[in-house]
Amino acid sequence: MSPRRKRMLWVAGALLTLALVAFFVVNAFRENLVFFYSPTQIVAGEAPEGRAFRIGGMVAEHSLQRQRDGVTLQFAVTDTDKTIEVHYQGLLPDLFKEGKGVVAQGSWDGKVFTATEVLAKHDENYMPPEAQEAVNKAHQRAIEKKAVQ
Amino acid sequence: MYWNSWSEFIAMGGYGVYVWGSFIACSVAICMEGVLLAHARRQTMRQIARASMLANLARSQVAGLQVADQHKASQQEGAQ
Amino acid sequence: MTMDTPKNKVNWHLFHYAAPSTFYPLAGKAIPWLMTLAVVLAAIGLWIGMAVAPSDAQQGDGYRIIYLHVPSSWMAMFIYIVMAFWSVIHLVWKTRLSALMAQALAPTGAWMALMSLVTGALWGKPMWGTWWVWDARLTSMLLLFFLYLGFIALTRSIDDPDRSDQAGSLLAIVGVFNVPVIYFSVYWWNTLHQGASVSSKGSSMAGVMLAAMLLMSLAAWMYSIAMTLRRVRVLILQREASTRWVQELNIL
Repeated sequence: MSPRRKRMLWVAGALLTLALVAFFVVNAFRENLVFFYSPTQIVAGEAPEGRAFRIGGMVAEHSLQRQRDGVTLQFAVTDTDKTIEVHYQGLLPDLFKEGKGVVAQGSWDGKVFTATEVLAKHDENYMPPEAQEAVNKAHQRAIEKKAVQ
Repeated sequence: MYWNSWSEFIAMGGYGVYVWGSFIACSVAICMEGVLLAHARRQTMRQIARASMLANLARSQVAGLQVADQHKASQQEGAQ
Repeated sequence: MTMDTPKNKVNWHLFHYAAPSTFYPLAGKAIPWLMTLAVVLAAIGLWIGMAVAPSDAQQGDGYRIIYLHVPSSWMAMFIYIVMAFWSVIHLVWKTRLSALMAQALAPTGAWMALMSLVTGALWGKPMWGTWWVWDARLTSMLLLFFLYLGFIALTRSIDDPDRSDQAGSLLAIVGVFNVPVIYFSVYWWNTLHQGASVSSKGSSMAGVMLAAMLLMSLAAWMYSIAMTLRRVRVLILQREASTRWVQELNIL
């Protein structure tokens, strides 16, 4: 085989591999356009039935607790309209917190969402802890003011 | 200055592996890019040097032939 | 009476600089300045970002990966747009240098995309709890990386320069539609990746953090321009190897 022919074969192989990879990537893109479903969507029956999917929303305040077996964690995911109970056995990411974003993969039996993986979804704000505290205090004051009125 | 000690700086609040891992990854990428580019440049230079040497050789050969032709012509002229 | 002073005889037309023989030494002079600027900007940016800036309320000191992740991601997207721009110029005006510019940009863009993906994985693991997810943002960024690799493989595999330039230009222009998809993916679809911290609406970052990130981005700009010019010089030499001006460069 001439060196030129050999090179052409190499190149054809490389291009084919790349095309194949691109195809799979685009496929993955199409399949995951809806990366997660909100509790409202799930209650409305918009989530796929009979296969695993992801739920996304906020961890409801004061909802995180350990079940009596000592391994299963239980918390509620809410989009402020609807709330769904999630059961999970495993490690939680550092940023998992009540009142913060969460995305969990698993299945829904119509009542409880059993998660196999729990990921934290954080926001795009970056500020020092003191600034965050000030924001929280201002927020609290606003709520108290509203309650008084 | 935000840090109180070197060890604090290295630890990065427990995220040292990820933060410094990112720095190492980027340094490696930048070094690789530089090395690959320098390699391509050296190779190109070598090719050009070879090509220009060959061109000079060809030119001098042509010139040599021309000199020889002129020499022959003048000899023929002299013989007439 | 004529106005033909020697100065007027010089071709001050813009295309004068598009001639590889003029561009080559010009680029060579700019590179050391750009590289110095990149190093100085990065040094200041890293000092502010890594030593002066406070930690983040949510992510502690892990957020500091942002100073590498965001500049490389921005650069990866922007370089592709510039590549498509030069490709359009090449297809419209058939200028030789613009196709070479696109080909010189591609490897730097690919390195930037790779850095963005790797630092993103190293950031995602501790914060999100995973190295990788197939959400729209991450997947479209991976596609950008493969578009760069495809462009490089395509242009290098075709021996005929004209056809190689043309094929590369077409691929660059077709692929540019992926860039807005990357940018807006976090708004168009549900993604694990958060929205932009810096946009036309302003920024949601503390001032010191933003300053460091912008300095690092400027450094990435200078670095990318310098590397592209270095690479385009090599490409010019390869293309013009048999011309007189290259052979008179005294490379030996």
